[in-house]
Amino acid sequence: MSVEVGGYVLNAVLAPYIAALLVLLLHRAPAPVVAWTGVAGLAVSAFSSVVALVLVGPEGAEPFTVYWLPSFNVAFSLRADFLALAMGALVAVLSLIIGIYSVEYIGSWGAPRYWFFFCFFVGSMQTLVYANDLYTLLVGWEGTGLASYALISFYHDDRETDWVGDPGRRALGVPMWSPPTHSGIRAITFTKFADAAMLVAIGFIHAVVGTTLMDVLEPEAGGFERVLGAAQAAGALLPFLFAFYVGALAKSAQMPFHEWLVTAMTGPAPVSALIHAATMVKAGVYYALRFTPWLVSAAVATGLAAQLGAFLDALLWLVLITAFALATMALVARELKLILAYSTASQLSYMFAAVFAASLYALASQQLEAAQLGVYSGFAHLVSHAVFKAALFLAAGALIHAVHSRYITDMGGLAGSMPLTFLATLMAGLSLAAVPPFSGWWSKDAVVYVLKLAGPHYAALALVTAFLTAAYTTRMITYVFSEKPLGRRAHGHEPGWLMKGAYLALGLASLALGAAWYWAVEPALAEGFGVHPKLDPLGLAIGTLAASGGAVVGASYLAGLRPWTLIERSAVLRTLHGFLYDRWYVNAAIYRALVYPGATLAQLLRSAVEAAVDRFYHISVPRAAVETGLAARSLHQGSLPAYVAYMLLGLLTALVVAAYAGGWP
Amino acid sequence: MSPELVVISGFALLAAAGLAAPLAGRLPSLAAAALSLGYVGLAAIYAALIQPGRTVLGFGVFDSFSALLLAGAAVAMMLAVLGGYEVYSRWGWAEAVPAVACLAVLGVLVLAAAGDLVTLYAGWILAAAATYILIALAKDGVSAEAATKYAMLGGVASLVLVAGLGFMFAGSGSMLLRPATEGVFALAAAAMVLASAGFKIGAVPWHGWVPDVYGNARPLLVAMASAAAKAVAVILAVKVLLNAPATPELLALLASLAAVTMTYGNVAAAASDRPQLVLAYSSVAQAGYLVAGLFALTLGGEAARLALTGLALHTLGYILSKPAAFLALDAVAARTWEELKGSWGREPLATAGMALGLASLLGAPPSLGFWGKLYIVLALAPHSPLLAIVMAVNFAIGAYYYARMISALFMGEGGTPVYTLRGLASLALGALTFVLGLVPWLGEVAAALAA
Repeated sequence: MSVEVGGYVLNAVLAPYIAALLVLLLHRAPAPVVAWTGVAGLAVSAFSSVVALVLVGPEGAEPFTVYWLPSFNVAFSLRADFLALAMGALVAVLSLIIGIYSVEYIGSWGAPRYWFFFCFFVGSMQTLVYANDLYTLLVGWEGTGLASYALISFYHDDRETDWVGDPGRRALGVPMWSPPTHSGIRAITFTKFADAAMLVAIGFIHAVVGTTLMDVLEPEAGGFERVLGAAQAAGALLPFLFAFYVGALAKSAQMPFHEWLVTAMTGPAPVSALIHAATMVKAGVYYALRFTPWLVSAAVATGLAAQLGAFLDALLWLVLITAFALATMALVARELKLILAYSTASQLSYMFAAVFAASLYALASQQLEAAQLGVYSGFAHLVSHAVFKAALFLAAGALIHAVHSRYITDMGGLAGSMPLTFLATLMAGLSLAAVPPFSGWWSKDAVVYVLKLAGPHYAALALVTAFLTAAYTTRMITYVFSEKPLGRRAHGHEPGWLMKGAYLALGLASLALGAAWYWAVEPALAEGFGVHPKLDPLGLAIGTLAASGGAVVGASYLAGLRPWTLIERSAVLRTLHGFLYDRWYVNAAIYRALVYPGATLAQLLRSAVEAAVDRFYHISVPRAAVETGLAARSLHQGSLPAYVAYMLLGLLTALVVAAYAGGWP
Repeated sequence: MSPELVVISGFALLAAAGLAAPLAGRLPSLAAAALSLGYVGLAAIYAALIQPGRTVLGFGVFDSFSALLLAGAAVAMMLAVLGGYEVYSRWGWAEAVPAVACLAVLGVLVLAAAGDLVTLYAGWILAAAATYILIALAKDGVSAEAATKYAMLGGVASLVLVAGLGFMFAGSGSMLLRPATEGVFALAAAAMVLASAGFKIGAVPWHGWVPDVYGNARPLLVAMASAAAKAVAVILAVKVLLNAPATPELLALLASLAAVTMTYGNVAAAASDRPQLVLAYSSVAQAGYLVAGLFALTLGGEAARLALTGLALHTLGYILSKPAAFLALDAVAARTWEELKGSWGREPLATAGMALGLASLLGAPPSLGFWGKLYIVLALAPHSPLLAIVMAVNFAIGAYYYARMISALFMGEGGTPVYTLRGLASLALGALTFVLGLVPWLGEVAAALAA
């Protein structure tokens, strides 16, 4: 890329890091100074990434590489193809808007900590996005993990208002509530587990192609062909593919890793927005969008199309089931942010599904460019989801703050007291529900279109999920803003303009994107990814029907039937409700199968091994030293005859040795 | 200035300063002692530098190794005499301290220049008697008991040395101090000289006096005695053991002696409850390192060269750092660990000197103590990895109590800072151990003796 573009890209990556550093240096300054320092860094990043996107345009540019471990062929390398530029601009702009919202939301408690990790988070995400090297990517990847851990447990005093789940509720004996510190540890554990496998995959790639530069993996360079060939020769194609993808699936909260994302709601609302809209969870999708088409062409070239196809088919089923499962959980959830969290994981599945389905189709039809259609659809949904989900979370932060409760059952009738918040939530919610003409309608239909290419059953499952999505979204909005609140009457109040301005702008953006989709957004994305998406009137019609049907059901669900009384009356419904409410027992199963046995093993090791080692070093050795020392010193009683005796004994020994040495006797 | 002139002028000055003291007052005695000691220190270093190796003189020999140690002992004694003046000037017998100090260094000088058995013994007994008197000069009950024990055990050691020298004469048929020959007499002589030198440096099992004398007597006087005693012992041992018949039995004896001495000294020091007792037992441990150096010395060849370097640097470091620690302890007047805390606030100079001295004893680079230990380990490691490992373990044990002591110095609240002459002298000595660690030619000058 030209020096100019390289400079903008470098700015986009480094500005948030520099802001984080400045926040650290200014940590004693007043909170507004710290906050605006952070926002300034985000603004520079946003400006630079947008300029880079505009300058380069859809053609992309050559990477910008600085070697920092030359002997290992490891480089700090940034790329500027359309995917990276568009993603980077999206991340930076959304982070800036969320940052402006945070200035008002966070205030002064823990402000330096918040802003340091917030900026570090965005910097790491930008590193990951613009990375042209797998190790550089990993640095950003782990940086987002670290920052998410710190921000999810931001309220480290574990106040009950910030918990996720109902305190005291257990499933299979496993607690279903999670305080912030516990959630932070869950987030980092769940993702690191998978990252370890990803690191193995990166190591394997490095071992085969001798570098981690991503240029080499592109179809023209043939790097992945050698990697897949080597993996196949070693009989490890499936383990390699699994290791290569599992980090992305965990990062983007696909089953069974979605559990970390669900409890990540303990963080402040803007952190939820940041994690769900722009950073962190989008990293896994971005990874899949970037590498899957390359793998597809490599598999075709090496004759491994069938094997990769089988693997991607399995992944496709996994993500579609995730989408469905999380949507069903969202149907019964009572916590506002929890509903949004379920929907995030569910919508991420759509993005994965798009690229996996298109790749499946490409492998089957041997039309390699079809995989790119999946990238287009996945990214389109990523953009529209990022915008409306950010709006929803930011509005949720204002709502929860206003009623001092995270339960939607404690809200209700807030449309009057918080009209702008209602408006923003409605616009973003309709986009989530895929109601025309909002952006979510366009992008979800683009996804369904490629799913139909892979097979009608995939598209059908996606449409069922879309129906459920519309239902739980409407249910949520009705609960929060309806004139007939279920619980106590809540009194809302609009927040300041920094907050409501942020989500109002995002809500309007999801409408504007939808309005301009056909004439501006779709052509731009299509040109950037080099595809020619076709409008599918039948698909659009079915999708619209599903969305509207779901919306109607969601609305009537509340208006006509009181769910609590209904559930209490029916044992079957109660069981079903419990199954959904307890998140399909996935959490309980993970704790029963892994966490508790692990804890028991750790306890065992601690009591058996660690205690023995500890005892040896910290008790036995010092005691032995003291005992020996005292014994040694007890030889000394200050007795002169004893000293003379020692001396003569020593002399005698020396003489005997000397005599023996001299051959005598 | 030729080595002869250095020896003769040094002898004359030290003898005059020592013997004339009863006729002069406190201050003239101090001045005479300080000047003659300072002169001997500089002249010996100078002579060693221009005449490395061993030179036969009309009345004896000059060797650069002994000259280095003599210089160290003279400088340490000078600083101790100067620094201690604020204490002993109040005693009725004040001029005795610089006088006896001069006589002790005179003994070292005679020993260093000795080319025959009689001169060797004369130097030994002069230095020995002077150190017993030094310890007794505090003239209190504790010092009297310590000096008595020291003198009585020293008497036994001297008798053993006389016997050993007799065996040497019997073995070689000459009164000249020559490389020992084969035979049972030579071996017996080596064993007996080893026993007496072992007494002097405090090697197990001849160490009985060390805790009683170093651990109880007035620290100021221990500072003076310790400098002279270590120099005497190492010079004697090197003169006799260099080129000694290296039988496996002698080597095994030296190695086990070294291992037992350093381990015993360190373990006992780590378990000691008083700072002065820690320093006393640490002397035993340091003696163990010296015996390890003697072990390497008897191996001959490259090991001997390295051992000579190690022995010289280590002994020099000890001669400077031990008085630094004892002078500082005298100034800080800490009888318990608790009293040691806050020293930094009360006595900054002494504390700094003590910390530097202890760091050198611990073996912190770039101090003399570090180089000495390094060269000794380098010398013996190829021949006895086991002893090298034992040494390394002992360094670790030593690091524990030295570091504990250093940290105690800087912990706790101090009072108003007081600056003493002893503190200044201690700081000068402590600084010297580190400054001299940066002088590259010291080790070469010492090793020249092996050529």
